[in-house]
Amino acid sequence: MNGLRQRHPSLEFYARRSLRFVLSLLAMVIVSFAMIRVIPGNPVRAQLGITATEQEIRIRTRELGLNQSLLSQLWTYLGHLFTGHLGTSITLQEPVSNIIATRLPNTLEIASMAFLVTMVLSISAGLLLGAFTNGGRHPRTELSFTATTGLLVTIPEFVLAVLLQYVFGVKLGILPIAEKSGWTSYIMPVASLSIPPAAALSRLVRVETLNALGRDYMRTARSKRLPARLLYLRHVLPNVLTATLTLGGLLLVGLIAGTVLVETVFAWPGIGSTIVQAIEQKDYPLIQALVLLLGSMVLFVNFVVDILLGAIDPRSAIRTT
Amino acid sequence: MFNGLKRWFGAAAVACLVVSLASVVPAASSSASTRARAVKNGTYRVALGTDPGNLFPYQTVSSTAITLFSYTYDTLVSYNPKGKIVSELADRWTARAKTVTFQLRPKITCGDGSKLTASDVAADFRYVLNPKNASPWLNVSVPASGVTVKSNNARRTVTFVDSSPYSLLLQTTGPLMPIVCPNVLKHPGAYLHRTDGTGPYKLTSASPGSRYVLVRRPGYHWGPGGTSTTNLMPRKVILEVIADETTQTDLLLRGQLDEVALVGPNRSRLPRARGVNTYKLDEPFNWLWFDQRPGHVTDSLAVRRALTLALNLRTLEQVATAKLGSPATSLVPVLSNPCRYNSVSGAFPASNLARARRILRNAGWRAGSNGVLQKNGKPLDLTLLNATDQGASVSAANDYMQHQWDSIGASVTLDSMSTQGMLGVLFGPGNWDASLVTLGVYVPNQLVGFLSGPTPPSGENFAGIHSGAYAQATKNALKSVGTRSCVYWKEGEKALFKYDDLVPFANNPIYVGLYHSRAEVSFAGIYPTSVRMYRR
Repeated sequence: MNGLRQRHPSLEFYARRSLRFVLSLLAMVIVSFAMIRVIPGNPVRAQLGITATEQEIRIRTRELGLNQSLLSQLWTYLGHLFTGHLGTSITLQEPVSNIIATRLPNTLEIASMAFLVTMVLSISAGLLLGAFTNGGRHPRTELSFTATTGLLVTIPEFVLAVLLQYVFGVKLGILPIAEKSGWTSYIMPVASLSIPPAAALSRLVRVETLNALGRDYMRTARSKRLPARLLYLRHVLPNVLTATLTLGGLLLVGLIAGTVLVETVFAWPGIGSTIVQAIEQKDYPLIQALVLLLGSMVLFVNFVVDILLGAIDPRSAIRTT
Repeated sequence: MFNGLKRWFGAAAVACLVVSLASVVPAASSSASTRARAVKNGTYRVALGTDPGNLFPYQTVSSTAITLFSYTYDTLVSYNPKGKIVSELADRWTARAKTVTFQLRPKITCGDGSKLTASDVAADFRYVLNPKNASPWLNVSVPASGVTVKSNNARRTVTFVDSSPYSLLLQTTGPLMPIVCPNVLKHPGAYLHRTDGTGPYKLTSASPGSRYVLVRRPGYHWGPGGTSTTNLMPRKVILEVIADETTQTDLLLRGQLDEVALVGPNRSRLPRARGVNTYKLDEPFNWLWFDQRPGHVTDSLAVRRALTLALNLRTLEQVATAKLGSPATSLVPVLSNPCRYNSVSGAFPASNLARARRILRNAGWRAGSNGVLQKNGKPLDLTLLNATDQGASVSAANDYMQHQWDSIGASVTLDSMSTQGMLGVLFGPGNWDASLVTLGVYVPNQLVGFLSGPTPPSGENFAGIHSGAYAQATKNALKSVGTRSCVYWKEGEKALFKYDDLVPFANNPIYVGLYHSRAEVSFAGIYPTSVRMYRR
């Protein structure tokens, strides 16, 4: 092990991270499996309701395989996962894979747009404000920027969503209140998903910009009378990006959680609103699959961010963990 | 709020809690559109709280699926607003104690133009009757055992024969279950997001989780009471999946939706909104049950009577429904109940704490050293089940009961859990004494197994109710044909209330709000052929 560490330090880092990723996935699979089985009461009776007949409950229990031993249930569950067989939703009576296939694209649409908007907004605003307030200039602008973004950071996505919906949809009536329709229907969901993380990220970008601007290489670049455009694009931006991408990756994780609530508010036909309904209706096969899906997305993003961080900055402390 | 409860109890075996809308009270709300002329060929947008899911009708009783089915499928017969059976697919019917025969109208066609025959209808019911199919309609639209279905295509008749009398066989088989065209039964899997029925609308596009578009069918003339499709009906109906009731209400009030059905706190916004016609549909809500199996103190009539007397049922109703409800009227929702009676009014005496204490003292209960009543060394300990996922108002109602019962000398433990956990306790070993539970049914016959007979696991009488009077009344009711049984069903319910076997106290209405539109309301929502939109 010591030999490997000395000869291929990065290889060992990747191996360790991958192992951790696989173990986390496995833990999540087991938790999602246990979820349906450890909750008191019969999940089938709970779903079918109090007036379900004993016979109906027996048949559905058998369909879900809940009448077998826990170990053999786990075994079949794992086998089904590998073959992509996620079961049938109890309430929708539709294959879970079908449901995911129709709803996931809708979620990815707004999530990727929100991510893009967050990045563009925060990097441009952060750079601009950083340059503008460099060296203690324009203290009032700095104060109002930090105050505004500070406030926006604290607003949860769903509160913002309801607020936007009320102002622009209900009161002013200039944007559709809910549902996916034309391009205007994307504005509010994407805005509620991107404004809080954009506020957080732009603060970081501004500080990083100020940081970069004070470095020696900037003084050198300035002394060479480089035009401001090149100064910022070639020297500040790349140095700001490493930290930004790290936090950006983490915000992407937050975005996944954010879609759950924002989709519900805007009646967006994605994974988020589906999981809320599945939980309300105690549709265990569906909850199980969606928890796995969202969970593995979060784990995957974390994994990629860690790997990137290690790759981009070989000095990073993450390599020793 | 109690959304969870509604979805929860309603979603499944018997969809009725959500669907079976009762006692239509068109609330006197502001509508400028009463005398205006209806818009021709409009587009009518309806909110669905959840996605209807699989559209094969015999594997679902979800309320939103049933809403969709009411546009694309028909039932054999239907109810008119006064609760009388009227024609739909069948224009003639005869009902006896053990048999009911429907005669179909001639020339009923499916969406593709093919004819619907009597044997097609019989096949639909045989699918439901086959236990292997585990259809949730079994025991809802047709008794689970002893029924045979016969058909005669030449005479266009479908006949149900029950081996034992079922009194409301017509009202069970006739108006509840959507009838599908034969292709659907041949390939149920192909109808996941499609429909093939005889209804007034055709499903033209389905985007699961989002919207379902329906278009009016020309030439339809077998609607409720012989109604036809006309151009005064919307040409296009769009069912839109919108989970959040606040969003639904916002959209309705801005005219971006034409119909919503609400069960949560947003209900209070509808009656005062301009241009919105509100229909209140009463639903039985949260009956108070006592575990009467041996070993429970609530097996004693004196204890049950004292506990009921300690409660102001009017207060309990207002607390449990957050002041949106009204006093209970019956155990069965009015709109799907062929019998229209009020069995609850006057059944329970007014709250009287002194009398409650006196009854307990006369029954031998004496205060122990800790202030809790005791009898033969056994304290008056009660476990009250509290479902925490049914909204704050239900929990508040349980708190109120605990407080009142403590004040007459009982020691009440609130056992809080999820509704799932609660069902586990009710149908399991039964470590409970009192609980608020509703059974969602369409017709009184469906209650019999829960209110009499064997206890779990061999039966469904989870509270161990042993009322001879109820058993006798239901026996008489089952033997009487049709609405002649109503007097016995009412008598049966009254017998339960007389001995505090079951204490219903509230109806909690579903509010259906229509934006500048009018319609007749049924237990499955609104009648599609009755929808008229007016100029805004």
